Amino acid sequence: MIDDESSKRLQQLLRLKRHETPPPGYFNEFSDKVLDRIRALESERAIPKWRRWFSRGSQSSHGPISESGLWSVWGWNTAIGLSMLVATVGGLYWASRLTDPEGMSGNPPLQAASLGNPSAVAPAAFTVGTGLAVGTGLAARSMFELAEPRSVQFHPVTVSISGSSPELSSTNPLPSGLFQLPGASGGGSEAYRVRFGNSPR
Amino acid sequence: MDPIAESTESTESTVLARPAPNAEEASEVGPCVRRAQAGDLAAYDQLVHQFQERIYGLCYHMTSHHEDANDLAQDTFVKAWQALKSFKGNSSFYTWIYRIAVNTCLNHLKLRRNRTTHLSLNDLDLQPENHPDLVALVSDKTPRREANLAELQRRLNEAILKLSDDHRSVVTLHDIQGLPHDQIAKILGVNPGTVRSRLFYAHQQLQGWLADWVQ
Repeated sequence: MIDDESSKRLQQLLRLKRHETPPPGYFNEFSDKVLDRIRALESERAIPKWRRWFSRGSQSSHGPISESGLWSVWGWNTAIGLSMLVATVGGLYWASRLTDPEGMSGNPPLQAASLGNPSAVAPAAFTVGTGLAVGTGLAARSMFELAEPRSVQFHPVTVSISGSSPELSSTNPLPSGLFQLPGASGGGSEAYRVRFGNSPR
Repeated sequence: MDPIAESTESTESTVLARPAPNAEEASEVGPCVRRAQAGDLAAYDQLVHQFQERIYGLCYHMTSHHEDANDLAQDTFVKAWQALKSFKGNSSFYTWIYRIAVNTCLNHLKLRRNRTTHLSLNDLDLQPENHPDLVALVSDKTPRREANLAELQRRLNEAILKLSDDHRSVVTLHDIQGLPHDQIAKILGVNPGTVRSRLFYAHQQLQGWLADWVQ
């Protein structure tokens, strides 16, 4: 149990802290500083959000946004954006040159798979049971193929479906999503051949 | 008469420990609050003037750091201005702004917890330094006769800083700022019984740390 006398003395001791005051005149400017901060916040709030966004990072949290500061940051952001754009376009162009030495003009542009005449293209080189078989030719061209080495050659692609394929249905289409096989949802033993637009007829 | 008692009683009106506003003071606050809620900065300036010393005192005693207290007191008034429209008058403005100040200080202390704390008391004016009664107390009433007032101040602040945030809050509000239990309960959003309990345990700890001075 706390001794009453020592408890009283402790409280008296704590009250001594009331004497710790800031230097004389400290409070003369205190409210001015508070109001300055409030005015700065109010003027900042009056600026549209998109302009505040561009000005972030270069302004003090208490100061108003100046026009010169705003546009210097705007120019800096623009320069960074343009640099990133140039780097991206250059990277894509370089990757395409690595993939296709003759340049993009040697091949027709990428296009979605189309269903051609089933008899015009040979069936798939191999099939596995009743499941899905994909031709031995390279898969459909995609952005990923741009990074293939120079030796890669593109060939006509065929895809054949044989037997009943529970994996293929209207609710479970081909996983690649690059082409559709009308009638595949019915299963059955028909073989479907899929030809890409750039394959010979 | 006990010199320390006389010394403290004679300074009850010290600005940083000014008690809650009386009815007359509160009646002046109401119109200012309403004008400030309407966006009148001049009215808010009056409110800042009215409460700046108490809010600064609270922040200072919670942190024992002059610069931090300065920033926190300013932060409190800026936050209060931003939230002023949400002030419904369910509690007094005094209680409301004190709650903002306490929360601001507690958030600051949480962030500061891992930072090395040092006292910043050199630029504070410890008024009773030359008070004859206090000088007498320091030289005659303690087992360490060679100790001086600066030593007492250092020990006192170190002990208060060792308290948990909850305990320091109630000690600051009750023992230093002189607020009654029920008002502290409203400010902290706890029961008055919780306030008494926290005070009891805080006093126990402080008596252990300041045994040389209180026994």
